[in-house]
Amino acid sequence: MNWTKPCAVAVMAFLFLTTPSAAAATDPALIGQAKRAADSGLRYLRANQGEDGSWSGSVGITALALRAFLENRRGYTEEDGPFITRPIQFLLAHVKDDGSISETIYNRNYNTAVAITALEATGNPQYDEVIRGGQQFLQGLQLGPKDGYEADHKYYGGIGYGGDERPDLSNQYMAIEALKATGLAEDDPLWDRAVTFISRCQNNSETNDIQGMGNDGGFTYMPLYSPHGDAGSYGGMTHAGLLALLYAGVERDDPRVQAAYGWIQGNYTLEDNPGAKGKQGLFYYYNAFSKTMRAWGEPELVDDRGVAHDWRADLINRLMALQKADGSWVNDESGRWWEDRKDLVTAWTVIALNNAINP
Amino acid sequence: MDTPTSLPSPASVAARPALLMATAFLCHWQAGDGILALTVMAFLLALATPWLAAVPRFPAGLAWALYAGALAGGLALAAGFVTWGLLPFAFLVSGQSLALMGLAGLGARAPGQARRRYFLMGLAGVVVTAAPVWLAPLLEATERAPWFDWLVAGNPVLHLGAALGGDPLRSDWLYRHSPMGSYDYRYLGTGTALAATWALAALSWAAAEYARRPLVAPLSSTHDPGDDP
Repeated sequence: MNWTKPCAVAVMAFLFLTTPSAAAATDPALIGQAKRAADSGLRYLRANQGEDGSWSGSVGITALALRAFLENRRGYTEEDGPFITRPIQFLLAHVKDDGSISETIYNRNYNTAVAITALEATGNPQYDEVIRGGQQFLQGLQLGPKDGYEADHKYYGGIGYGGDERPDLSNQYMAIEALKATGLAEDDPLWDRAVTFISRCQNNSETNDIQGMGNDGGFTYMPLYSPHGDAGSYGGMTHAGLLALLYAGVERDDPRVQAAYGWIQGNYTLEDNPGAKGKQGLFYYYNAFSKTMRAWGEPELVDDRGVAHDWRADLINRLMALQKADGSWVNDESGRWWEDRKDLVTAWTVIALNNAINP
Repeated sequence: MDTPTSLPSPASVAARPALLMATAFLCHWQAGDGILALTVMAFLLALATPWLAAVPRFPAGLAWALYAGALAGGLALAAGFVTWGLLPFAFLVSGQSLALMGLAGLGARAPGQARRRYFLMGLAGVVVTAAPVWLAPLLEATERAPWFDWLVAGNPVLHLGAALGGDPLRSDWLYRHSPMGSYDYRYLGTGTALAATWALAALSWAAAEYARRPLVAPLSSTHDPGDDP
């Protein structure tokens, strides 16, 4: 018997089964369960919507909940009724002369960023002017020479909560995501300045000129500081940092991107927010994780031990296990970064499920 | 009425609002020029107060009230020159200054040695103001609770920073040293903070005035009304 042909077939089959790009799709039955979980979350949000169309009277939470509906596989639009149009009107009612969209003078970056992202997701050109105003407001928040920050300052290029506070990577990523989603010109100088600040939040001595940072490839909250101790890398911020780099146009083969992805491979888990204290920032991590993995475009993530993970299945299983009977999600163990707010966490989680469900 | 020798020096009077303003400066560095101007003005106004209080037959309480009023008006005027956004801050500073003086007046009548009384009052102020920092491990380990709101509401320095349009709990230094800024918190509205501060000032002044009321000498047990002519 000639064994050449069977061996070749076996080798081909082995390669087919072990090559990540050829990995099997996530179990359709599990995807179906995820769709129902997302529907249940949306029902919770709809049941807890305020009379004014908002959630908790907050521009930020309202925009995120609206985005959860608009990006859902059911394709909700303004034609579906007041539960979509009223939150939009709520956002528009909080547009300020300076272009910001916020019900408070605090969180103006965050609120404006998520608001223009949600308005963009409506696909309605009627909101273009408001979106442009929001873009300009966000651009104005970026720290630079006009604020006394020269290129060698650790905060150069950063964006904070809005106002004169210090910048941080989380707010930077929210602003960058919004500016990318709303089509800020690729040659705008904001991107280069932003990349400078993002790079300075990375524990990567090869590309970070800030002395005292680590070298494991992950990201921290801001240069030389993590809320989880020292300037250590952690999951939520590493996904935010990687996303921000990709949104800013940094190529996948860039050493910063490779180092960040390497950290994610070496710290793959959905049990907790790796590198964080306890369960702090857990749902922020799930939300950022879903965006990064979807943007990366691979169905599986191979960790540093060579084990392939179907990230969609892992994320869906984890989120379904954490869902409450009323369809909501909430962080039972930590209220930091508002994760004790059901409407916020539910909106984040439905967005994460949307990313896992959508190809 | 207090004698001139019991009056605090102008420097010590000015130190109270100056300290508050310096703290606010740390919370909101961009308003630095305005705050510096207000601090100088507070010092100049304070120079006149001991002199007024020392004038014979001029009530000390009225002198201090004049000082507080002048301070508020002066600060408001200066705030108007710098930016109208500083206006509520100016009234908050003068209200807090007046409240501190009233509490100091109460402290002066409390039992015990004067130095110890003021030390304890100062210590209490530092403990309350710095609570977000020294409570950091507890804040991080516990679920958010209603007492978080009281921690913010009872902190005068946070109100100063917020009245300037800043977000002191998320300022660079405080965010690094306290998890409070990562929780869902609310500053008191400017109107509420002003009302609470001036109410505290009025109460503490009224209590201090009551405490220093002239005492009536007790009648002698050997006194016989029948001896009166």
